[in-house]
Amino acid sequence: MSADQAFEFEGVATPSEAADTLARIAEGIRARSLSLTAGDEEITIFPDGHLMVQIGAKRTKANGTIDIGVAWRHPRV
Amino acid sequence: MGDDDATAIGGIRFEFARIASPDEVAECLTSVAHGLKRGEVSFTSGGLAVRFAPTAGIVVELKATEKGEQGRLRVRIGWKARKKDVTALRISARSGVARGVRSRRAPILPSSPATQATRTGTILVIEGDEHPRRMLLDTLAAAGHAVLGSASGLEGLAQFRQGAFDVVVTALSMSECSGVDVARAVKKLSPATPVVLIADWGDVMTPEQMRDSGIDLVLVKPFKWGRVLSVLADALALSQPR
Repeated sequence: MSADQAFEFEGVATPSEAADTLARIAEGIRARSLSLTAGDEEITIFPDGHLMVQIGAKRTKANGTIDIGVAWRHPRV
Repeated sequence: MGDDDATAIGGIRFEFARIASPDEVAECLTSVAHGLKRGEVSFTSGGLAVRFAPTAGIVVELKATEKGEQGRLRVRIGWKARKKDVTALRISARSGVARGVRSRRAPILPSSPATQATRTGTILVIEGDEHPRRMLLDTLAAAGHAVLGSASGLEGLAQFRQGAFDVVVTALSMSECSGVDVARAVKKLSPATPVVLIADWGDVMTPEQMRDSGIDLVLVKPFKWGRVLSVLADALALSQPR
């Protein structure tokens, strides 16, 4: 198992850019290997097996959030 | 009723959780991505169908961790209405106002969310199943709300007619009188009273049906303590203080 890693990023996007970001994340999850890079920060995650997916969305007038969380546990070797 | 009218009646929430394969998660993310490009994201899995229309000025937050045997990825997409231009703010010196004398004008800042969250009210909980009803009543009472429980829609409506409630929380699936019937009746009697619908997985209701039924917010089972209080705080914020 690789060493512990953590990655955080926050950026402003147009709806189209946000969509492209999600589409690329989807590709990575489908490939069971996803690398995220921002500046000097980089992480590669390996979502596989049974994933717990949680989606929360909230809308109030013109504001809103869509929150997508995915968690997984690597099997013991 | 247009969508703007719908959003004006209050907030809409959606929650969903399940075990899925990587391919299913990828498909879900792809679907959200397509929705973002179209300008409208719809969630229909697991029951309630709700729509979101992210506007420009989206903030994308990504958090990813691989720690030991566990991995996590969180993607948050948030959007806000454009803030007012600072040029809309008028500032002027005022003479003749003694120091320490409070202006009677409305404060510049609105009341904080924290203030709204701590507001308590009188809540009518209509739920046919005893366990979730008891859980809701205990949770709300512990948070300082005055609560009254009812085991059926008809009984709940009779109690609503007799009492003065700030919010009505009703289950959707009940014999004789469903949550939709309750919501319609409540809105007929008291249009300003917010109605929170308790939904199970598998309950299918479109946003149009929610609006037409007078449902302001949805609380999806299984309940979580914080989630229940958060939805009730939002509902109370919609209600007029009595």
